[in-house]
Amino acid sequence: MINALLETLFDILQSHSTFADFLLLFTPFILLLELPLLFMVILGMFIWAKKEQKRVAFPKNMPKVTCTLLCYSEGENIIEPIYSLAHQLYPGEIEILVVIDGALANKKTHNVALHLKNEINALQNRELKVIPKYKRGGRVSSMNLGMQLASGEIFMALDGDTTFDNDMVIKAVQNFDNPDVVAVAGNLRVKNAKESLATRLQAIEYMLSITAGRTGLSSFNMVNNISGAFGIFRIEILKLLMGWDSGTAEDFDITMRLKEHFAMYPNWRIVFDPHVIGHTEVPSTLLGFFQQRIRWEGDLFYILIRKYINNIRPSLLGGLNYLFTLVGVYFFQIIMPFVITLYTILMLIFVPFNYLLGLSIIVYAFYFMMLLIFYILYIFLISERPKEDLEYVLYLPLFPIFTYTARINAALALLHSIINKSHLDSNMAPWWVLKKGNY
Amino acid sequence: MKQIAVFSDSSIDTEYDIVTFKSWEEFSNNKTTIAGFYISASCSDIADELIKEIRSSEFWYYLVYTEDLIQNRLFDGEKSLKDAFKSFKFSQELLSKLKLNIKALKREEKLLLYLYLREDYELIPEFHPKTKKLYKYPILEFISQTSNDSWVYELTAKSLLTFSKIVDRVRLCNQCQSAHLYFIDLCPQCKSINIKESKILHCFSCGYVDEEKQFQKDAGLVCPKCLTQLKLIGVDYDLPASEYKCYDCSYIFKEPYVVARCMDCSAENEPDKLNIEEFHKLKLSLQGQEYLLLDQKNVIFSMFAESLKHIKIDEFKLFLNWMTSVFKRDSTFHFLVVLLEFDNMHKFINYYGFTKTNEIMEELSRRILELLRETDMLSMDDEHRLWILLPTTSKKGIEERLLNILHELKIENGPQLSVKLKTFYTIKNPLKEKSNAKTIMNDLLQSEENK
Repeated sequence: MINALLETLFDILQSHSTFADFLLLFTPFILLLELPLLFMVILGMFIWAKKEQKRVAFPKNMPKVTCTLLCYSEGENIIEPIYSLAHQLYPGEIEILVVIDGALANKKTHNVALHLKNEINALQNRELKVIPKYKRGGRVSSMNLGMQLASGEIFMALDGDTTFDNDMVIKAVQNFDNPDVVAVAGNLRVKNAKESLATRLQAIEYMLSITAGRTGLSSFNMVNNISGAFGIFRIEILKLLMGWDSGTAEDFDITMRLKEHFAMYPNWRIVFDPHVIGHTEVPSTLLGFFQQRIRWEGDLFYILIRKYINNIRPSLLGGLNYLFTLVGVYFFQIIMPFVITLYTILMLIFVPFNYLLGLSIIVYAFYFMMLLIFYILYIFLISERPKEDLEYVLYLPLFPIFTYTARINAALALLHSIINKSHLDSNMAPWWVLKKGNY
Repeated sequence: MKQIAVFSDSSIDTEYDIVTFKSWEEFSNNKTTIAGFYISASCSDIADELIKEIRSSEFWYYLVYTEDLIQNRLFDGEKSLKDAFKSFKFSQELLSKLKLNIKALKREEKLLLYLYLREDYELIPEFHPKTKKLYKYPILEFISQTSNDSWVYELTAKSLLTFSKIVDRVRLCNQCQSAHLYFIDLCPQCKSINIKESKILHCFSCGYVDEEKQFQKDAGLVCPKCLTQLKLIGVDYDLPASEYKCYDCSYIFKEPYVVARCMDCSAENEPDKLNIEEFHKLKLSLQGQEYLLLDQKNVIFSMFAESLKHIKIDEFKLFLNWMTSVFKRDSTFHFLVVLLEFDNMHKFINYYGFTKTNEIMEELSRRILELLRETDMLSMDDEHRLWILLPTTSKKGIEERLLNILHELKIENGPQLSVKLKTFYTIKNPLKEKSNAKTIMNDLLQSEENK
């Protein structure tokens, strides 16, 4: 079996006149697009790590911070998130707005929040306000309401099922010592990583694709998304943008709208800080993961193609961000899944199985090497829990396959979105809000 | 009607029969009988002195009205002379219905009288933070001459006064009954005051518990025992709520030990063991009125009192002493002492009312009096006890008949009169050397009842 495989590998290499010739087959993609992006990210990671060494314990300014916790049917699960905010080590004032969407239907969540009120308000510099929205209005309406009621200078939009490290506010606020920073994207870790293989693989994805990737991009002010579950803004900037737009993928939407000011305000910075940490739950099965991604990728397509296609101009985004948006977002996130899926289908039809298998092993080996380097760099440069993160090296070999299937799944999601306008069925907001929207 | 004493600087032209005075001295030198006092606006500045004089004098129970409103409950309010006249007239009529020797009244009866003469009068406790119990009833200090007001509540137990509304509940020192207490929280282990509330952390990896300060390192938390960095509440560590730490013995605890320290005698009391006193607005009850109208509290024994055999308790003791001496000289001269203790008189009156009780008691006393011989004597004391002295009478006959009478006194549907019959008979109870009326009566009080 192994002999047969090795023979095929040699056959593949010999079928091309030289080894270099074979490599050239993949070169355009890798050399032109993927590698430059990867190198840029790695360079960015080094830049961040260098800066991180200079970090001091406390921020210079301690403005009042408003944390808006978006709650729905979490029930008792909102206790931990609220506690994790109330017992932040931040010495300044923290206002916690617990916005309960559809409070009539979610009485339990409402009651749990009210129950905590006295206890939290007894703490120094902490204030808990419970804001019931009796009719459901969706995430966007909750965040916009929170923004209007907020009394802090710094506004955090947070998910009701996410808990936070006790230094989260300190580290987040520290970024705003730089007056150019308008927003900080928080870093999400997987809370239930040890639950199943699916959650472990997702944990690796969060570490590498999101944490490492965004840290690198952040050094060049090219953060692609401020996560909706964990976005931190200067309130004056939010008011300038007049809050969030209704519709799905509102997090990507507000990131885009921030970036649209970059040409006008070239000093503006969006920072992704990998040490500003929240912990969130991810789907515990692969099926659940794929379903979640079908929704996310679909929403992404909606926002990129239906809403922003006319706004992708260098005059609006600034040159570098324009280029990155084209390559990093439009190409890699929308075109690549289709290319990969198409390639796979064509190869299955036209290429002999053994050849395909051999080719897959070469590609796998290449990506695994890149992954391993990237992973080691992540552990040394960025991770703030290196010991914990190092355990995942055992699952690393499975990760390229996981990503590959995720890409194919993304293609399906995009197709679903194009054909069925799936973004109008999102569970992030009720249909009566989504269907009223302009897109 | 009698004249009205009016305090005024100038003479007043009015149809009413008044006599004006400029000062208390002028009034007390003048020996007129009056119906009430009226203080005109021109004397408002000396009103406070006047009222103290009035309430301390023999006129303490008189109605005192003022032309101007004065915030002092010792006055009976502001009224025109015309209205005051009507009130004086009314109270004089009420007073005339009573057959009381006002000068001989006890403090309880004085209070009842004071309330009786004032229509719908409420005795309202006033807040005086400097007094021992924080509250006092303004008129009481003039009536009882002491600052202790608790005897008033005995009148409510006897249903002569009723509570109309609770005003406050005061906690008092167990030692000296002072309400001037302050609360201090102490370490429950060593009772030190050197405690402080602080956040207490519990490290999940090694189980170490200490205050947050010990964990703080730069802007983060590090367990001082296992050196683990604690980042996420609920996963790395938790706060077993905010707790107290004693800086003398390092004890960590949730609830401090609280004591109430008295500012007057510095005794330390446990808060839940403090004496509690409630202050109420008080009103004269119907029974209280009845009590006054029926002349005196022993009205229920009036038949005995009216009997020729009745003597005062001091005289009774004198006779008993005399008989004891006679018996010591001549042991053939026997005598019998009977004691009837009416135990539940207050409850009984409370249930049946004065009139009904009176009827029952009249019947009872009529039958008892029928039993007695010419030579027998009886007396009553303040505690609803009837003492009977029967010379040369054998115990058996009289005891049986008395028990019979008590037995026949069954009342349908309601509480029964509880009477204890006790006897002292010189044949059965030999007299000692030192025996006298006092020892005999004391022994009787403490003895078992005859069944």
